[in-house]
Amino acid sequence: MNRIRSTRIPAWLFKAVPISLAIMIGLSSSALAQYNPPHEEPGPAVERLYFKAFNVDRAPLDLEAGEMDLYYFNLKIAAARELRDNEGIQLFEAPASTISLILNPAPAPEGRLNPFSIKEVRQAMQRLIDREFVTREIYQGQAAPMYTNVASTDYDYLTVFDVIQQADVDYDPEYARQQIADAMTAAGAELVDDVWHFNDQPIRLKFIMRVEDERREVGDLIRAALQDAGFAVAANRQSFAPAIQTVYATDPAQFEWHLYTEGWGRGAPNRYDFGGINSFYAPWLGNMPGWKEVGFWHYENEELDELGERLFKGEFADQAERDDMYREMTRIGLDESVRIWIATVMNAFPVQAGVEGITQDLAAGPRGLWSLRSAYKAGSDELTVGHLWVWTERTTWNPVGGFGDVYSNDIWRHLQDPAVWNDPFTGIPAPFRISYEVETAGPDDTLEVPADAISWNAQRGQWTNVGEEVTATSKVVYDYSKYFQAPWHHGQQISMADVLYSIYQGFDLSYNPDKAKIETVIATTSRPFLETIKGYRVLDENRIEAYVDFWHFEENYIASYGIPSGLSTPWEMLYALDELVFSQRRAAYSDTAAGRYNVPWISLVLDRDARLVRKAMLDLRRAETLPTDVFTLPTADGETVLISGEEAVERYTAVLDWFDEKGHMVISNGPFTLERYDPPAQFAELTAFRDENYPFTASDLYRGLPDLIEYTGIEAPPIELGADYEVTLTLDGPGNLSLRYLLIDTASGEIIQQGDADTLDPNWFAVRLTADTTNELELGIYELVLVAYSDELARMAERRIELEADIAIIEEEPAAEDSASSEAEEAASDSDEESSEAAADEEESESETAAETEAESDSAESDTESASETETESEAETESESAAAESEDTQSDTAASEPAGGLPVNAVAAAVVVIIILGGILLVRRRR
Amino acid sequence: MSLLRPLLVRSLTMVGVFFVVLLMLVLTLGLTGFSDRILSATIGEQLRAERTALAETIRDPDEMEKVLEKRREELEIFYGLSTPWYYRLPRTALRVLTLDLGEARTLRSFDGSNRVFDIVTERVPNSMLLLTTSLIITATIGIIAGAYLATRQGSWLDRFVSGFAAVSFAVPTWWIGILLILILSIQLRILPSGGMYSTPPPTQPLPRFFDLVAHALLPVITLVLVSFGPSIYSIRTITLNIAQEDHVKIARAKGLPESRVRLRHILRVAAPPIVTGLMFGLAGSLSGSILVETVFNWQGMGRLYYDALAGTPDENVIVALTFIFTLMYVVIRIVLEALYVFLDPRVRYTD
Repeated sequence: MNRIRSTRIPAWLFKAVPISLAIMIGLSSSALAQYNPPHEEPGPAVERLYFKAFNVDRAPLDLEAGEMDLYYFNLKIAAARELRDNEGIQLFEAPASTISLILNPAPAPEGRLNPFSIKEVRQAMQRLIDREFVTREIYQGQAAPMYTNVASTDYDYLTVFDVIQQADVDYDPEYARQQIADAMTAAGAELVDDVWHFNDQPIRLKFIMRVEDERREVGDLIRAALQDAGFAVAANRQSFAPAIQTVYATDPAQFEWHLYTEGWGRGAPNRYDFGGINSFYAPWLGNMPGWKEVGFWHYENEELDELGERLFKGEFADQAERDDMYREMTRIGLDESVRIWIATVMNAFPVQAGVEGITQDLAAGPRGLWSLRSAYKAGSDELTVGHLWVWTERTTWNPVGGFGDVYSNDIWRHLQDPAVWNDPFTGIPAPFRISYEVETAGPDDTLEVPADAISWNAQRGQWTNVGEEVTATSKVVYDYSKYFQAPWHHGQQISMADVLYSIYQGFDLSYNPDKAKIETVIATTSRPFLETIKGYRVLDENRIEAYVDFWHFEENYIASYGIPSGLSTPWEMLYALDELVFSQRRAAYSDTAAGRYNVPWISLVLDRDARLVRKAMLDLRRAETLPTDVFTLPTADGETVLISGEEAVERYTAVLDWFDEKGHMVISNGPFTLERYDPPAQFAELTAFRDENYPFTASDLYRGLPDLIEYTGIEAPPIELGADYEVTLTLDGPGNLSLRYLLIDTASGEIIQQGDADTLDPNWFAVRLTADTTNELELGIYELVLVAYSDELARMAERRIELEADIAIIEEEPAAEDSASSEAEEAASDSDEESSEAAADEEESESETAAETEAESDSAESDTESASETETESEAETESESAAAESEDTQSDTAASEPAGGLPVNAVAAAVVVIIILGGILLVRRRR
Repeated sequence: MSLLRPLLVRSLTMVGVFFVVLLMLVLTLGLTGFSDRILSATIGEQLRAERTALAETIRDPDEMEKVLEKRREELEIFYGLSTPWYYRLPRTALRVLTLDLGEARTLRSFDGSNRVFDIVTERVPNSMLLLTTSLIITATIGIIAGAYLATRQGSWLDRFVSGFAAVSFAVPTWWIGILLILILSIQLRILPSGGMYSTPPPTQPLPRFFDLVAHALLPVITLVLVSFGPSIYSIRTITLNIAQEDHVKIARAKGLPESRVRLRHILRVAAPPIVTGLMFGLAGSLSGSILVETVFNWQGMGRLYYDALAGTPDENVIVALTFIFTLMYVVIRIVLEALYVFLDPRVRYTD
């Protein structure tokens, strides 16, 4: 008989809770509906976009009152929970933040003991934290357990999931306490009145607990666990500012803190991480205790540093080597346990039910690049976007030095088109408004850079040929046609001159000593990158070729790295800004230069600064000056001049007209233009840019919801010892699907076999064990961990199945009828199948308790990432109960058809019918 | 003559208070290491964030370290950490004494200015619109109703107001604020729920002003609701006490009209404590309210102080704001000293 052992939620990974679930988010019916934009004109779906500030605590009320159409800031857990039941609101979620616990491993001074300087105590902390409780109770299902810097939603989870399994860091307080006791005793500590003492003094841990969010409760949980383990804990509840000044601004050896509940925001999805793991494990990058602060004690680990730096620099031959390095770093990180990961938190973004066209970026949710370009509300040509702030005291819109806060960036993102952007579903850089071709000789070889390639010579102040014998690892040809086919917002054509000015500006700012002295920060931070740029060749009016010393096995990363210009601002604006900053010295690009020279940190959105630019522009127009050297390119025949004086004056005039009309100097090339910016009102108005040559319509920019991977069928018979064995699975999902697995002995936690499943057809896979392997198994329960993945999705689907190895059972299995029935059920619903099988199978293992069955059903639901998983939080909370009820129902159904005594159902039913009929006849006769 | 000298002495005392406050501020920020630690932490946090961003373009760890070291130096100069606190903070304190509030390091005004004066003058009117308005309304109601209730001691109205005052005093402002938003904004849709302007905000000055006033109504109502009960009760108690004093009885015994007794013999005598409360309330209203401004998304002095302390710490703004608040206190104290003489005929200063 074929049968599926239902999946079980192991304590350590409470079934990946559904972060995947989370994404469910938008699986509401309206979101799934086909996208029908209100028009097919170039530009965005709506005519006007309003940004307005709403307090996060009041945002749900304002949403319900219709004050806004969507909220761009993540809601608090309780607010999100309330809105889940609101039919008028769609709730989108994204794993946008994580929490961890950093331990202070500094050695204590003579005569004292810091428990966290002992590795075994730190490792015990992994098992002392009940991540399941944190995610299910404290975060009310809106979080998933986390064991390393990689969340189960990250693509690199595929790389490290077996490492996590092997580390065996499940919640196990008994074992943890024993581990702590052994280590503390070995270190010379004594347990007196249930408190660890060293040199007759109690060991007191200073715990900095953040209070602004659920980390307060998480901190209380950890504090209680530490107290149970025998530590006196001085809990210090602090908000951001005092907490960071205690933890990051004091020498760890001063022991102002022993542990701290950190929180981290997450950026766009990155398929092949290199910075994150370095930042969170390797000391060299300055994010481990000691923080690379001069004079502080520093946590050190040469192995992590060596591996991390190689990973960081890209010193690997292929993806396999890169993955090995990543896995090894993860293993060491878990072994060291200086930073202990707790949970990935799903941030909730509410959207009014009537809003269509939202794209669910896997990392950023609807807050990514895409949503507001295609979103609209039926019957309206405008959308109001709520945010925590529109303006803050640090707001700066500076296209060269950067933006002062995240809120400004969230508006700016819709005013300009990036050249390349990470795909919202794969996390891999992809062409947005350019196209490119990559050629590389890396990692071991190089390409010759043509002698006529050019680079900006800051000393001479002109473009010069790079000359002979220059080499580069990779070459990328960038095609800017989609930019050049349309104008800037002020009507002037985008051209190669804009690209060249942008390249020139970067090089001159870094290598011109006069400029570098003023804008030191920008110069010093840009120079290492510019050193890897070996030259450019302008191929024609649309294409430019870049030579770079950079390699990655994924060519899109090379293209993303070598982009000559992001092309966000017209050259005449950059020229006027350069005049202001370097010639007139009346403004600065960076905050530090502004402070040093006591001039404004220029912000194009503010009236005062915009007037400064206007004045500079008027001067340029009056003098009819232009950066001739920047626009003069050396050619085989002499030189080419890209811009004439008349063209320059026309551009200056267009900018001045723009300011007269709008009152600011934000000019770019995206689907919206900035119409108004009103800081006191915390308000910004964007209007659609409808130039007929703008390359995208709303439909082009709609990506919708990710097509997640689902397990549609699993056939997992019991393992027959000594015989070949096979589990077959069918998957549904985008792109080329693959399946990786681990077979684990649940008794010992040992991995028996792991690898990639055999592909039978694109959606059908088999995990096979040879007779030799099964022959070595003991009777009992084994766990099969499955991770399905796709080349078109940066998110896996994890599933766990219990397999039973039991010869006797196999031999006594009745036949095909049951099995056929099971298969049919499987096709309908995995969890149903599993429950009914579990109940119906009399020969089921005795050890498989009702509780296990419940957990299995629950887990099955999460793994399939079905819509029901994320519908409501209350559902998430009561999953076990529902599953239990489901099992009981099934069991009682089964009991009806096959009573305990084993009587045939038909016989019993026939007897009942006969009795009823006879009884009826008797009654009728008696009445007569 | 006799008034000038004692007032001068008191003024000098107040100036002394003023210096002591600034000295204590400098010592609190500097000697405890608080200032250096917060600046150091801010720089560290900024560098950690920039490290992540730089990792996208700088793949050489050594280069990265060099860049970050340079950046650290820049930031230490920018935040003033390169100068020891015992130079930095006293210099800042002495500068504000010359009424030069200086420049904020991180905070800015709506139009981008980093001058603390610009930032403060932009925020004060916003706070005044809410808090000073509500103070005036509360005081007016309090004086009229309090004086009236003092003559109705023990009546059902007196008992009701006493009870109401206790409830009003006990209810948190933010709670009343949220409740009013729910009722007046969400349910009845009579008033805007928060923010300072509508979406989109009017551009013409007059409609924009009226829009601002409309948005101020709900927070003002909230503030009045939580404060007028205690105001009535305290004024009623003060006037009641004075109404039972001998000089009032004598005035009544002389057969003076009740209105004259109330005005000249009760209210005038009761004026000093009432005016003291009002004046300090007035000064307090200029410093804003963090809670109310947060609940109603209002850009006032309360939020500015909070941001300077806890949001994006800005030492210059903290010193400047402390200076302003102390200055207001000192000025009001001196004004009150003078006012007492005019308000209460029994007050006489002696050398």
